[in-house]
Amino acid sequence: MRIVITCIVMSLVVAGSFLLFETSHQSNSSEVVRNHHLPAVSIPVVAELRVSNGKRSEGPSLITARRDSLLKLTVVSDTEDELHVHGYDRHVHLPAGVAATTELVLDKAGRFEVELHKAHTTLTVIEVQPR
Amino acid sequence: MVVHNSILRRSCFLFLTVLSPAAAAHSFGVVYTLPVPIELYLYGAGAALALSFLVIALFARAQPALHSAEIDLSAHFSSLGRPSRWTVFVGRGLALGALLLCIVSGFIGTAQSYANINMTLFWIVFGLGFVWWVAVLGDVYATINPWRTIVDLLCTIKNRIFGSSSALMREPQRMGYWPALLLYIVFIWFELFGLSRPPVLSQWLLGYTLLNIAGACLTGRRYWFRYGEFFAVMMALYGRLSMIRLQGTLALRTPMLAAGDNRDAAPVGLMLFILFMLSSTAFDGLHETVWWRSIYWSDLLPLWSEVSGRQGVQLFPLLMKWQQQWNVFWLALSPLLYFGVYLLFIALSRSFATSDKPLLYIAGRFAYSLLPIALVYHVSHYFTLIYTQGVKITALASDPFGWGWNLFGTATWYRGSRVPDIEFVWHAQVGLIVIGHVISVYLAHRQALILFQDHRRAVLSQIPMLVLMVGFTTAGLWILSLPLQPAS
Repeated sequence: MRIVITCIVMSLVVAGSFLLFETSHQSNSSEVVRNHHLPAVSIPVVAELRVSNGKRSEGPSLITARRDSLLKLTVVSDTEDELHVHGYDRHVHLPAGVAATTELVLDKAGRFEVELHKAHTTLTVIEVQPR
Repeated sequence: MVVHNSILRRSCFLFLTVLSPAAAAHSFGVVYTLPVPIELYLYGAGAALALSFLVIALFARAQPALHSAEIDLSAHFSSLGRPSRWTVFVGRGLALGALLLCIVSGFIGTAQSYANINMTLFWIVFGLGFVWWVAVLGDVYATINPWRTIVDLLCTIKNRIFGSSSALMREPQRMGYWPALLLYIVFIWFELFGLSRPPVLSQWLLGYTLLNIAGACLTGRRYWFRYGEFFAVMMALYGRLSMIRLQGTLALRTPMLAAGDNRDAAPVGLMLFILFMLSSTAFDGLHETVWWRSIYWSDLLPLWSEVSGRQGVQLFPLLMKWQQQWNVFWLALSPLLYFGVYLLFIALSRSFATSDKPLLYIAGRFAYSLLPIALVYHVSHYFTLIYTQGVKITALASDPFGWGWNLFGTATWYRGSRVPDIEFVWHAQVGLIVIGHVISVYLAHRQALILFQDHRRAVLSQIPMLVLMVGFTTAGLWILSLPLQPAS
């Protein structure tokens, strides 16, 4: 009898920990702007970023999109640098003070860092969801 | 006050997303993986739970045959009984050559991580590929350990000149596995926070070589390369899961099963080592997530301002400085935390089975059954690195120092980024963790039957163990599903 009661208590503990995991998961993901209702593939994803002193001063730290959508990325940097989109191997030259725009079809799903080569910093991250 | 606090938290969370230092991905290699979607995580946890009860039901109904079938290969093929001296010689030579190449190339080759062979050869080929090889095909490392080869060579030279002498320390066995555990923690720290570049890696490898020589001098070769050198300890543990037994006579056996049929109890140091195999991988997955960062940068802020007497923006530089120590603190503490939880559940097992054997002895007997979970944690976290970076060893072999060589004509192979299919990765990760979990549950059951003899008591003892393993598995899946830190 004692064992049966212990079993029940333990399964309640397991279920409880599940719920705990679950709620903490949700509460935290909502704190960062993370859009789970991503727009349809047909709408291009537009992101504009501004760089000063090799760091992002304006624009999103995370860009989310569905696979196969078109990304229009515009970056203005106060110093000359080179932009590198990991995974897609896209390199974009950034002249000082001039907006550089690149279009990228996001046909690979995953998490890709966008790096400033000269400043050695991660400018932003692109998360491409498969569906 | 509450309102004030929440505003403070909000503003600091903004700081967190705007200013906190760049997420320095673990040591080396690019991971393109997205967090596992919540549905898959729940599905995996549910499957682990359901399958565990299936294992329990199977054991409750009938007692399975315990002796794992082993096929003694040496009996069938006399030439296979022991590896020939030449095979051993070549194996040891290759391992030593690879180690020396790793050390030398970091010093003379390019400092760019992806263009120097030592980073890929050490972190990916040895640190991942070779470890999994050992887990499947047997502990080759015990034979070809390059550090042992160096020490053996030095001993031969020394004996020629000075005559042989014994180790300096008497009874090094008293230290047990603690030196290995300590080195393992330092190694993981270096992997996660050491910002390793080719020259730094070379320095560390050189330092580790000297440390091994000193360790072997002090404690004797026999002790050091079984208890002290942590790669040897780790490989021996993973080797227990392998389908080929290399120690003693060569034998073929069911993969994984042998790890649960042990008749020996792991000492406390080794138990902590096994638990650190779990907790270090878990920590690596965790420390880059939004959840982990937000604990430090927002949840604990009131505490930090109280401790330091500073507020808001003034607090920030201090927190930046402390962040590293905070992470190292939890990394070093993690095996102890896991150990506490583990002992708690073993104590429950013990009382369920009404056993009078000592608690630590029972804990030591069951420790090896956690190895499959440790292995699948490791594989599911890192296997994409073989696809993205491991294959590049072919190109690096042709141009090891980044000098533009093309020794074997392979220097242009696998150019560019390789992005694995994310849906395949997710399913593989969840599938692996669930499979490893079921194997661990099964192994613990077998061990219970060996340890407690009585069938009914054995099955009862496994109820708490099952809860513990479901806990470990759920934690593993949960970490894989957490959102990662955005850019700095």
